Amino acid sequence: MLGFIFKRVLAAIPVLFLVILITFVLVRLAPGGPFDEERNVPPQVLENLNKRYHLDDPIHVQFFDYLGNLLQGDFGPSYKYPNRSVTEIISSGVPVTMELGFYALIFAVFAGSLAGIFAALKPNSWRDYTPMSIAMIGICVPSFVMGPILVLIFGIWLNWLPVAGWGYAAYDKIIPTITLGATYAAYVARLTRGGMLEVLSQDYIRTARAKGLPEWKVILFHALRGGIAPVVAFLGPAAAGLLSGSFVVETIFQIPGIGRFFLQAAFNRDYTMILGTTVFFAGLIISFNLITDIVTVWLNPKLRKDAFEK
Amino acid sequence: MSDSTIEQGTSLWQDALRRLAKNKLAMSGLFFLLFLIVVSLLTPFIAPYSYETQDLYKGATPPSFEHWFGTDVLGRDQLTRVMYGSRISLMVGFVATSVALIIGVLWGTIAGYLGGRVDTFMMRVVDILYALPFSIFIILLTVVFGRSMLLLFLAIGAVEWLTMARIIRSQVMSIKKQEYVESAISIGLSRTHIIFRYLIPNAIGPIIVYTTLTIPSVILLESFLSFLGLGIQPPQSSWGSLISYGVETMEEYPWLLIFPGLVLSLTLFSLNFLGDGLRDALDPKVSKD
Amino acid sequence: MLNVSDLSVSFVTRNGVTEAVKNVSFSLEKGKTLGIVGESGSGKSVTCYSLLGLIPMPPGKITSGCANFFDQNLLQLGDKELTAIRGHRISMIFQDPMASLNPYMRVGDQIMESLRVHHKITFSEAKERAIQALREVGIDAAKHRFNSFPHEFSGGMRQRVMIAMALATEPELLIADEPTTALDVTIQAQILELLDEIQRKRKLSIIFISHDLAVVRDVANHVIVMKSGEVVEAGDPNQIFKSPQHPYTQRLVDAVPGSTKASAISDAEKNVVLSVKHLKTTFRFKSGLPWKREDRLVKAVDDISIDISKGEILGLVGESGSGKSTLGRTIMRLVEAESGEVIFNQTNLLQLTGVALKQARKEFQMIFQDPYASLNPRMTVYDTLAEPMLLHKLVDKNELSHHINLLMDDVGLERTSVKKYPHEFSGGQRQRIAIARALSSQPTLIIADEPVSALDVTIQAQILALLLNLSQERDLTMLFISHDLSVIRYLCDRVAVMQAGSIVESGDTEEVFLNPKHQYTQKLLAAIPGAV
Repeated sequence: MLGFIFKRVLAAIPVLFLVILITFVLVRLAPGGPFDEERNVPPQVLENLNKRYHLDDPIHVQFFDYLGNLLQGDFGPSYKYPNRSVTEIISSGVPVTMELGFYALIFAVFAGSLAGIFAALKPNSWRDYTPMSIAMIGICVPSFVMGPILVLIFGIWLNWLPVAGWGYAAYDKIIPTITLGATYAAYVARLTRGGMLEVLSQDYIRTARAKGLPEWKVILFHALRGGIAPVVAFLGPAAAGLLSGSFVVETIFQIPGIGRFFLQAAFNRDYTMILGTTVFFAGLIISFNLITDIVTVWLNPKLRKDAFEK
Repeated sequence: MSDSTIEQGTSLWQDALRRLAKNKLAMSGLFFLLFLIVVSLLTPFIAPYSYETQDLYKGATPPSFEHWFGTDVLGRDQLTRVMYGSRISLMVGFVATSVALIIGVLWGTIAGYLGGRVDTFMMRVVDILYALPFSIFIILLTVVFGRSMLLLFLAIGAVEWLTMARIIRSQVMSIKKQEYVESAISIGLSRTHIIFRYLIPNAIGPIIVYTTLTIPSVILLESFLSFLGLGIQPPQSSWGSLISYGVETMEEYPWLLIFPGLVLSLTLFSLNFLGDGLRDALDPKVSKD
Repeated sequence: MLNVSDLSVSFVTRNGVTEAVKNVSFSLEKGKTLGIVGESGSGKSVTCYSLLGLIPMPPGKITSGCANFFDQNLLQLGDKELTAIRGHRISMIFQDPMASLNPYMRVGDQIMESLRVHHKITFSEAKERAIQALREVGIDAAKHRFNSFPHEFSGGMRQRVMIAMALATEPELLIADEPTTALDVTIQAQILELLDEIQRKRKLSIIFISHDLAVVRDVANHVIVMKSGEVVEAGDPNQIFKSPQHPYTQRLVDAVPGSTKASAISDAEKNVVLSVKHLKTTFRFKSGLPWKREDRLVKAVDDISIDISKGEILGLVGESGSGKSTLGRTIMRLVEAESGEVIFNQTNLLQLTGVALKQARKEFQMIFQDPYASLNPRMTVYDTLAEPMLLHKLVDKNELSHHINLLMDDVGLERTSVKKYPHEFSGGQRQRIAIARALSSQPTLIIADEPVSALDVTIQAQILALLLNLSQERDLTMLFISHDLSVIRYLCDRVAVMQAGSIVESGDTEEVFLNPKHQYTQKLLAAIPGAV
C-alpha cells in the first residue's frame, strides 16, 4: 500500500510541474507587461521596475527562479499591491475559503447521502421522487441564481438572515454554505441513490437477509459501504468544483476569500497574483484527487490487495 | 415468396423511441427546447422591441402587457434581451459541445480501438488534463488572450471533451470484446466494415445520452464565466451576464434577476430530463425484458 | 418438520399479474433431502424464497397456502419472528458464492455476524465457533483464513465458506439454491460430498434446488419437478428417472445426453483436414514498477498437437481455466499464437495475413457460448445471415433471400421472422441464428465453444440434435469445446481432455469414457453426477 501511495505521489509531481510551466508561459505570453496600464510611465522607471522584478532576465531563468522560490513557499511579490507579497494575500484568504468549502462539503455529503439512501430504500415511490426532484432543482439552478434568490427571500423579504458577509453577523454563514453546497449535495444524492440501488440488488444483500439480520443492519453494515463508494470517488472532483464555485459565492456575498482575490487579480491583470493562485489551486486539486484515489483503493479490499502487490 | 407474411421486427432504436415517447418529463423537456430553439432562431424577426432601444424616461418597470418581462434601468425590454441572450447561450452550448464531441469521439475511438501503448499514452494525456483546475485555466486564458467568443468555444470544448473521450473509449473497449465483434472478424469482414456496422451503431446510444448531458454543463460554464464578467462582453449579453446585471439591482427590480434565471434553469431542467430519459430509453438492461 | 401446502405466489409486472408459483405442496422429514428440479423461470427458487419472506413484496404477493415449520406457519409470521428463524433455524446457500458473500467484509466477520444475531454469546465465543465452522467444512488453517476476504478464496472454497456461514448457527433446515451450478465438475463432487457428510452427522434436512436432474438424483430422497410454477411430478428420484410419467419430465430425462454415438469413421477413411502442431499461446500480464517489471506469463495453450479428420467431431473437454477456449480462439486466429502450426487444407493458418486470411476465413467458422452476446443487436437476422454470403460472393444477389430462407429452414427457424432483431428471440432461437450465421459462408470446419452451456437442458438437447444432424448432412468437421462430459459423449467421435494448457489424454470417445488412462480423466469421470 505504501508503495502504491508512493507511486501515485510520484505520478502527481510531473502533473504539478506541467501546470506550473503552462501557467508561467501563458502569463508571460500575455500581451503587454504588467505596468503597461499605468499611464505615461517614463521609460527609465519602467526599466527600473522590470529590473526590480527580474522581468529582463531570459524566460527560463525567470522560470527556475520562480520554481526555486515556490519550493520555499514564496509566490513572489504582487504587482498591484507592491507592499504585500502574493504569499501574504493567499494565506489571508485561504482560511476563509477553506472554511466555506469545508462547510459546503459537509453539507453536501450529509444532506446528499441521507437523501440518496432515503430515496433508494423505496424506489419509485413518493419517498424516492421527492428528494430526487429537489436534487434536480439543485443541479439545474446554478449557484449564481440560487444564491441571490435565497438572499432575496430570506435576507430581504423575510429578513431572517444577513444578506452578505462572513463572520460579521450571526448566522451569516448559512446562505453561502447552502448556495455553494447545493449542487454537490444534489450530485451526492443521485450518486448515493444509484450506488445503493445497485448494491441492494446484489446477491450478498440477499445472503445478509437470509442470515436473519434486521433490515437496518443489512443497510448499515452490508449495503452502505458499497453504496457509498461512488460518492467517495466523487469527492475529489467535488472539492475541485467547490473551489471554483467559491469564486461566485465569495463575489455574491462579499466574502474575503482567495477566490475573490483571484478574480480581482484577473481583472487587474496582476500576473504574479494570477500565477500564484493558479499554482496554489492546482496543487490543492491535485492533492484532493490523490487522496480520493488512495481512499477509494483503501475502501475496496480487492483493489487494496492488488495495490499491496504492486 | 410474398413479403406479406414476413413479420417486421422492431429495432432497438424504434424500441427506445417508443419508450422515450412515453416519458412525459423527457418529452416536455424536448418540446421546451424545440420551442426555445425556434424562438432563438427567429428572434431578429419576432422580438417585440429592438435590442438597443432605450427609454430613459421610462426606466425600470415591472412586467406589464407591453413588456412581459418588464424593463431594465435604461428602459430596455427585458424579454427582448432574454431572447437575444438565449441565442448566444444556446449557440455557445451547441458549438462548444460539438467541439467536445468531435475531439472526444475521435480520441476515445482511436484509443479504445487500437489499445496497447497508444491507448496508454492517450489516456495518460487525458488523466493529466483532468487533474488541471479547468475553470481557473479558462479564466487565465481569457485574461491572457482577451475575452473573445472563439476562445470561449475552444476553451469550453477543450474542457468537456475529456469525459467524452473516456466514455467513448470504455464503450469501444467493451464492444470490441463482445462475441459479435469476434464473429465479425471470423467471417472475414474488413476493419472499416466492423467499425461502421458493429462498433458505431452499438456505441452511439451512450454518445447521444452523454452529448445531451454535456450541453447543459457547457451552458452552465459559459453563464458562470459571463456572470463573473469574464465571458460574453457587452454590448452582447448571454443569460449569465443578464443574471449578473440582475443581481446588482435585485432589491429594487427583482424581475431583472428572476426571468433570465428562470429561463436558464428551465433550459437546464429540459436538457437534463431529456438526457435522463434518453439514458433510460437506450439502456440495454431495460430493453432486455 | 416442514409441510407446505397449496402455496401460490404472484408478481405484479408491467404486463399484468403473473403467477410464479401455483398451488405447490410438499413436505420434508428430519434428516432427509428434498430435490426441486426445474428450468429457469419454473418458480423453483421463488417457492423457497417465499417461505422465508425473501421475495420483494410488492411486486410479489403470496396469494394462498400455508407452510408449517414444526408448529409455526411461516407465511403468517411477522417480520420479527421471521428474522429470528432466518439464518438460525433455516439457513440458505446460493448459486454464486462470489456474489453472495459481501466483498467488503472478512469472511470470519460474516460468519460471526449470523452467530451473534441469533445467539447471545460473547465476541470471543463467536470467534471460536466461527473458526470451528470453517474447520468443519474443510478449510485448512481456519484461524488464519478467518481474516481473509472472499476474493482470496477459490470458487469451491468460497462455497465452503458459504456453507460454514449457513451451518454455524446449527439450523435444522438448509435451503441450497443451485449450490454447485457455478462450479467445475470435480469441485461440484467435493461440495456434494461435504453436504452429504454434514447432513448425516447433524441429521440436517436439506431442500436442494437445481436445474440438473442428475445431481438431484444423486442427493435427494424425494423429488418434485416444477414447470411454469406448477409441480408436474413428484416421487422417488430413481423412479422418476427410470419411468417419468409427465411428458415434461420425460423430455427432461431424455434431454440428459446419455445415448452414445457410434464412431462413424474407420481408420482407413481418415483424411486429416485440421492438424495442430506444437501450438503455444501465452498471455502476458504486466505488473510491478516501471523500472522493475515482474510480468506474469500464463501459458494458456502449452505445446498442443491434435488432428481432426474430415467429417469428424472432436470433443475438447476441460474445466474452467484449462485453456480450451484459448485453443479454439487461437485456431480461429482471434488470439495470436506464440509458436506452432495450424495446418488446415494444406495451408498454415498462422502464416496467413491480410486479404488471404480474410478469404480463408470462409472455410472455418465459430459458434460462441453466449447467444445474447454473439449477435449484433443492431442487425436483423436477414442482414446477419446475408453478410457472409455477400462478402465471399457465394450467392447471386437475386437469390439471396432464397438462400437465407433455406438456411432458416435448416436451423429450424420460421422464414417469416427474418426481419426481426436478435432481442426479439429466445436464447435457444438466438443460438439457432448463431449456427445459421456460422453456416452461411458454407464452411467445412466449425469450432463450437460451449455452444449449449448457457441454455436450459431441454433446449440444450434440441440444439445438440440440430448440430449433430447438420454436421452429418453437410459433412462438417467440428471441434466441440465443452466442460460437460455427457454432452461430449453424446456428440463426439473422439475426445481430448485438457488440463492446465496441455492435453492429458485423447482417444475414441467410448474408449476414453470406459477406460480412462490418465488420473485427471478418471477424476473428471468420477465426478459426473449420476456416475456410480
